[in-house]
Amino acid sequence: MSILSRNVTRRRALTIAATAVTVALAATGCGDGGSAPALPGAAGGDKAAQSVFDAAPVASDAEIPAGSTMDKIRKRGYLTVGGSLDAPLLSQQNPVTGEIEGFDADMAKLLAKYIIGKPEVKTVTIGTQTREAMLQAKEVDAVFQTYTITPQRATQVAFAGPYLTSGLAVAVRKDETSIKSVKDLAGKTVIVGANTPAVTALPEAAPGSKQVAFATDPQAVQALLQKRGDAYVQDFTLLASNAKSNPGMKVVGEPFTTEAYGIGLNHEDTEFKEFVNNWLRKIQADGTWAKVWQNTLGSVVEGGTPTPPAIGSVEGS
Amino acid sequence: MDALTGHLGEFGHGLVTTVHMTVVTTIGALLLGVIVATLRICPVPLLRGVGTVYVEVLQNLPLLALLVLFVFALPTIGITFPLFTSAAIVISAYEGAYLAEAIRAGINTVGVGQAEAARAIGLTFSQSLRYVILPQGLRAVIQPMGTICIALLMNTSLAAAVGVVELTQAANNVNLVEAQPIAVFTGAGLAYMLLALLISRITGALERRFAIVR
Amino acid sequence: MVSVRGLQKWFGPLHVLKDVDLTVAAGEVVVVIGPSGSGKSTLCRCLNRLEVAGAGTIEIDGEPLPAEGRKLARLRADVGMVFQSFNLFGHRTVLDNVTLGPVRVRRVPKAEAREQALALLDRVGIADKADHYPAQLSGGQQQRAAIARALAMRPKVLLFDEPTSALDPEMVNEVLDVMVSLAAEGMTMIVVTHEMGFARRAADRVVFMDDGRIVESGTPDEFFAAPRTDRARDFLSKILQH
Repeated sequence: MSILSRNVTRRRALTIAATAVTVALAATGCGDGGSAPALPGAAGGDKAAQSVFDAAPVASDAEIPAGSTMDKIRKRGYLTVGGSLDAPLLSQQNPVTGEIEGFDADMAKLLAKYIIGKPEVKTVTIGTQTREAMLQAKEVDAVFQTYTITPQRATQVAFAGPYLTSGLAVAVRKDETSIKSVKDLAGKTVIVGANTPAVTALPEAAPGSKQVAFATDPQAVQALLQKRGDAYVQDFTLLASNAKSNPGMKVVGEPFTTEAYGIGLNHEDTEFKEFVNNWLRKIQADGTWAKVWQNTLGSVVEGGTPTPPAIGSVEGS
Repeated sequence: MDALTGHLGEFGHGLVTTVHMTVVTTIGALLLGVIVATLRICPVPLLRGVGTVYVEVLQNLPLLALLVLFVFALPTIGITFPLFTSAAIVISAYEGAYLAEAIRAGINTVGVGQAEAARAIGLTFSQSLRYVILPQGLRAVIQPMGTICIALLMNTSLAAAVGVVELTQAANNVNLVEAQPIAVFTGAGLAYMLLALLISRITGALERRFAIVR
Repeated sequence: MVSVRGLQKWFGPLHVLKDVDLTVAAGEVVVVIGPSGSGKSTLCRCLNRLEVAGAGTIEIDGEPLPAEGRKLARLRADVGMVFQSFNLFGHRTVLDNVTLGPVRVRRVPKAEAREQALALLDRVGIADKADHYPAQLSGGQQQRAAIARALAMRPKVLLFDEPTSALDPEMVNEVLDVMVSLAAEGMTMIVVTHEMGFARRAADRVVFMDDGRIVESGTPDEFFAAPRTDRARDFLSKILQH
């Protein structure tokens, strides 16, 4: 840093150092989300989440036949989940408590509670490149990682759900006035997260736009603020949370895609898929799903709690 | 296999970027390597110190951290390079430190008598380096330098982290659509292997071409 | 041509040159002899600053020896040196070894340097080896190439540091013959050697060193016939017995 700090004030240098370290650390992660320095929704989330887990349903013995995947998980005593540690509001490790918090993380714990009777989850961090292989090899029981359901992926893995729908939206710098929606992105340089749905969705939604991909969400935000691109296309909830902690950027327009997220399961295990779908229907009906949403994503998105997506409503689920 | 053949355009583009990046950074790293190795053996203590600090700093930091620092920290003091250029500069600087050490090892294999003879006919320090010491020192370490160049090739994939769509990132993007990681990354892996093989072939040819009769 | 006054040299605690004075006139051939460890090689290497003297002055052709830098490089170009281990540049042909200095230091055009080099190689009797690499030559041929390399700089004085010590016996004479002919042509030479035959044939003056000092100095006839000091007598008796 000594080379850099010569030309800047001490305070500025410290900020640079801190940013650089955060960004450098985050650079190794490559989940769908990425991480953000602040975690809105996490505050007080512990207690609220705990009460949700306490009230959540547990499967009857009749639903868990001997020798089934559920039976094996119950005997093992914990659920093995493939997910992220760096996706704010979805699946992010709280640096203080070590707990993994967010919508995906809470859903995984609820599934564990349903099978085992307590929310015991062992999270394996996986990259987007390895999800299919991990499920095929049965290294994890389920993937909770904003895993978009697509027909191509459905030939490799089974998707329970969808359990959440979201969409890609556009964020720009505060002073930007010429970009009001995705339609204005033609001819612009657009920042996306590497290995996110935006990589493939952007060329369709905004032909003629130029794409630059960054490994993590904080890098992408930094890049937008440093004018390496005119806009940042990312999941709406993530952008909303970024805009809340970053006064330099704003979200413009409505989401322009509909991403349906599914719980990734082993392709052959239809029994388990049916079981997970039944559980989803149950927690949607009894209001558990809505509580989880309010505790997490609901803390940054304005407007009421959405209706949960219908199970099996998307091609590939 | 469709996962590969259906996306030859993306793969081809990524491959070209990887080769472009490898060629540019190899040249940059070689230049830096020679300069830094020279600094480390030159008679001026201050310059020797500069060379040592350069090697110690760059060898002891992860390349990814350097890349991210360069791309995101420099703009905060008003210096912004294009992403490809940024990645090329950082990888050159990083691999240059490794090449410098290899070259220094090569220089050490050249007998002290060669340097004395060069000085005795009136060559200056830089002339004796250029015409006598480096040509012999470099020949002695063509093989290890080739190994470093292969490592450099593999390290170009880190440029993906700062927005350069090279071969690995192209494979990631294809996999995002196809969800066939084994086919996609086997394809990308084979491409890297062929490039690495090409480098070691070039290394071998150079070694034969420049072999010193002993 | 060469003037040394009060030269001192230490290697750490070892005092290897003790107050050495030596003057060599233009065209003079001085042979330095003495037991190993007497400091004669160090003296020779101090004369073109391959070793830096601890104290004293060295003048070459009236110019004091400059410190490190371009001026020193220019001076070294005027002081040729032939090493015990030849030190030909291994990656260059014999011809390229000889032309390197003239082309890079003297800025002689390449074609001209090549012509001169071939003439010099012819003179030392290895013109047919011009395109060979040093490792393809015998020791004697390598040393003659090294002499040609030194001569190509048209030096004011030539230093020889035990030029035949690393040679097989049958090759010693081919090198000495070249040196004798150089001496006959009036080259200023300072030769550190154990070859007493060469000293008798070619030297104008013999300098005997022992324990870092010049103990005795005189014409070969005087020195070999009637050494004045006990140490010289002792030394001569040891090497001339056989």
